[in-house]
Amino acid sequence: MNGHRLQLAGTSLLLHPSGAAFWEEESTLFVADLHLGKSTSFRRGGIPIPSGSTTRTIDRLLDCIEALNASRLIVLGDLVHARCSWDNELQEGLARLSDRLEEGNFLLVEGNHDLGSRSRWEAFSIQRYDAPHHVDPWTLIHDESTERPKSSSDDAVYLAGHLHPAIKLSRSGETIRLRCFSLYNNCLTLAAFGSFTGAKTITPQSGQTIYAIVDEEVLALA
Amino acid sequence: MKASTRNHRLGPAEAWFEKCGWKPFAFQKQAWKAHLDGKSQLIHSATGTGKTLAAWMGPLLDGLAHPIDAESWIKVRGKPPAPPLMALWVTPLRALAGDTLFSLEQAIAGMELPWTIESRTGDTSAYIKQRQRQRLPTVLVTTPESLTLMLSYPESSEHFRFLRSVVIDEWHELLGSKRGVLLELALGRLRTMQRDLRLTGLSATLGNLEQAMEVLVGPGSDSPTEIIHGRSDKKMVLSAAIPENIERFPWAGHLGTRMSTPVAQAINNAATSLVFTNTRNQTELWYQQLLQSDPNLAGLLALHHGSLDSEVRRWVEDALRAEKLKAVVCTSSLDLGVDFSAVDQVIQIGSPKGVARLLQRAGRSGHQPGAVSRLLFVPTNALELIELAAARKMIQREQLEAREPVDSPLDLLAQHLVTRGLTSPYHRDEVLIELRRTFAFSKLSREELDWVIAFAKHGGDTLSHYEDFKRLEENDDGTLQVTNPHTARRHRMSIGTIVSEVAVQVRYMTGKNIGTVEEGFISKIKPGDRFLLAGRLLEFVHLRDSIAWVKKSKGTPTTVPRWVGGRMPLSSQLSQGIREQIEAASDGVFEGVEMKAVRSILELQRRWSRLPKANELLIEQIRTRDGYQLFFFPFEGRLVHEGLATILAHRLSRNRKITFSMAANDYGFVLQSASDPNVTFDEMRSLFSKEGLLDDISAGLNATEMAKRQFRETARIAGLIHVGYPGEKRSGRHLQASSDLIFDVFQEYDPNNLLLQQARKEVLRNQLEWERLQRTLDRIHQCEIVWTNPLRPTPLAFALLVDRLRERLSTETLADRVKRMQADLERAADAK
Repeated sequence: MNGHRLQLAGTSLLLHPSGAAFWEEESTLFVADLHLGKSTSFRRGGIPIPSGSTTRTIDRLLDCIEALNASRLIVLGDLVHARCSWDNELQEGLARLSDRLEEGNFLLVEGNHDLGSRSRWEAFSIQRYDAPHHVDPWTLIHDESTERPKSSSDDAVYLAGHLHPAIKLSRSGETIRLRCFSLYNNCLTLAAFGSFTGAKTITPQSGQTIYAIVDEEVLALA
Repeated sequence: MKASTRNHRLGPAEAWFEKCGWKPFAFQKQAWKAHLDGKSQLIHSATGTGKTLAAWMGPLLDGLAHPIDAESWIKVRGKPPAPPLMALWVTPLRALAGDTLFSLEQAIAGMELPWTIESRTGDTSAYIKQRQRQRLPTVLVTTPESLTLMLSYPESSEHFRFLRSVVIDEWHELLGSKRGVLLELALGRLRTMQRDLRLTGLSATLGNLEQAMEVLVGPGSDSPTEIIHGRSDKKMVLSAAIPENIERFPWAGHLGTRMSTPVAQAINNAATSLVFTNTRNQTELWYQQLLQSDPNLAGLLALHHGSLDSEVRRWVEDALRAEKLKAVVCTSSLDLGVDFSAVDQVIQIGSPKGVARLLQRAGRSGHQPGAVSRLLFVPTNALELIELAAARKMIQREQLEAREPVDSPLDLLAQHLVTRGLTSPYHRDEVLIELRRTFAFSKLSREELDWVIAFAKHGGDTLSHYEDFKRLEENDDGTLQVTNPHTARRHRMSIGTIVSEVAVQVRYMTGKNIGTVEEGFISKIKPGDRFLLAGRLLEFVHLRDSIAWVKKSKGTPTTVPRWVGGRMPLSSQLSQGIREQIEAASDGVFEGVEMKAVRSILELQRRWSRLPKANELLIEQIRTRDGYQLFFFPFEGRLVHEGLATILAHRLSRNRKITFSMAANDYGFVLQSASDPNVTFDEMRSLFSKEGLLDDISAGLNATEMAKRQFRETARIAGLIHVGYPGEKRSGRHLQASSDLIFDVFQEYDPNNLLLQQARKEVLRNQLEWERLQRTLDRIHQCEIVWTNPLRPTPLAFALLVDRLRERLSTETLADRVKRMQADLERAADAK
């Protein structure tokens, strides 16, 4: 199976080249930062961006659920881009996703972009939670910088999104930028899953492990 | 009529000249007459030869002869009534507006006209802009962007009702750029409003003056035109600083400052000098070096380049005008505009890479009529002396570079069609006629126009794809317009074509601004790193609030800022000149001091290999420690050589397992490989075939990356990048995306979008000099191939051999590349 298997919090996570993380023991798929409907909000804001990325993101997610045989989906924030993202393409996509999952198995830990869509989730049987949300052994959050307590005695293991991390590799004039997962200080930050999302280049600290997405593989960079 | 007879039509101008103690030049009178005869004109002449008054007295004489009825005058409380807008003066640099305004105003006063004059640029205060929306002065000095913006207001047709003449200063600067097209579009609008509008272009001497005239008035225009040749008796003295011991001087490719002592001497021997370098970094380095060579210059030497704070720049310009400085080290930032009459010498460090540029720079000295323009050329390597010798020949033959006008930029058209819809509804047919009267869009097809309109209306040709997007709206009668005030406001904010790189402000901890550096540079350096900016050694403290905070420092720089602004490739005129000089040298002819100075080096080249004649292509093959080297010398400029290197490497690696690394400079390029490529003579010939050229170059280059970089400009101009406006605050956050990301989305979901195609086309034109590359292949086809096997690197090859910036042509997959890089990283980590 493609991806990189990681032992964390006494269990096993598969880092998938799509940007998702699969918790095999509980058949649960974690994804972050889908930003569905982003192109729609651009168009409504007066910027001509073609559509198709929302449907593509949903298709990729359904493929992922299929391939890994996942039964539960947990989104770590920024499922929908903005209040003005809601249109037929988005509703139809979310409906397909919701149909594929059993009632109660579509969870959203709310991210900053989701705030304008609160009234919408119920129609798609999406259960919304404030961050942090505990699903033993995980503490699920969206933005590590604001939702993680500053206390040093904190020994929880966090799963997060928000950052859209990417890593830059360079060597004698050759530069490659890759989307990645980052593991640092007991927090695994997922790559952004959405098809129309940018990425932020991060500079790894010592003790930080980067799992770079390289086409159909995930490579650990120490 | 004899020349000495006073032409009564020109009488008032001549009288004013006489009062000032001047005498009009023949070309000035010619220009005035042409204007009074209703002609549009292109006046070309070196700077400082009286172009401004040649262009300006015509409209003034016309104003005297045909005054506007007093009932149409503009009445303002507290001021005498004045005639409405009659003349526009368009300048490419807003910094020039002030100086220009002053000299135009003097002539208005001299002619005792009741005209008012004001400027309108991006620097004009909101208060004055608001006032100007109510009433305009008789003469307005403005920029292409501000003019376009004014035309976007519904009241513009009323405001421009009495407009008779437009003068475009430094037309050659605008000609080859999208800014030039922006102006063409504005002029097209004005011509529609005023059929008999007279246009006057001011230009330096160019290789394509006829075309410059045609672009100005539009192709197929029936209005009468005249090209006015300015004074050519301007004396110019070109000389070169010849290094004393040329054999020990670097042959090529060196950027040293070892000529700084003779340069400091030359500065001391003249009253005031401009020292031109080719990059901002060199400006900083030379400034330091000159102060070291001659400490007496402290306080008398300044520096000037585009990344310095505008206040610093203004101070330098004022000091130069007030004759307080001995010399200013500068980049092309002082190429244009302000006439510094004190300057009596120009020093050019390194080759200017073009004949016209050399002339333009020389013309920055000796401004007073009768004075001599002096240019001292300081080579940074020995072979550059050949470039000066070549330039002399080309100046003699008056073979100057052309500025190629930009052909139908669709991103700008997308912008224009929205701008056009801000004033009043318009029909497609009417706009197509108007567009085809501009040079840039003279060949615009109906299909292209429809596509761009569709793009501005709903984002593309497939309606369903963009249902929520609306910028331009179509009325029931088929006319187009913008009705949404938000769209209108945002669009006005984004008018123009200047795409600025992300620059980070550099500021002292005490709060004073110094200048800017690029974001990429600042993100790489660490606190404590030292770099030169504005002639000062600065220590980086930290980055806060998007400002790089620094403090003064001592010691030596630890890092060098990088600024975008590519090196210019050698022009085709100069390339041809060099090939001729080398051919002459191969016949033993060394004409002029420069060629005599490099004689010993060229004879070495001949002994070790060959001096190619103009109809020969020299190829040298040697083996060094690094591997097998194949050198090629077409002398066609760096960009063409980069393209050729890629094509040859790609074609050679098609039928053998090999990896090439490549380097190119203005004279030639090298392909290096670890194994012997074993090229036969016949295969070598076939490598230069034009067949499959586009495919081969696209396969060899990282074409997508290049197109992506080009797309940054396209996306900005076509309005794909969200421009926030003051007061909008956070609401625009969710509309921000990088042009790279937008490029990917288009590529994926709308691959036939014409803007993508345009970005690819522009890569070919701007980054590869595609036309020239094809002409080069044609030329090589006629050439005899001369293939030598020297025992050691020749003078021509040497520079390429030491070039560290090598590109690699490789067929590895991304995963392979990452794994290899990772292995390297691990090895490096183990070694620690």
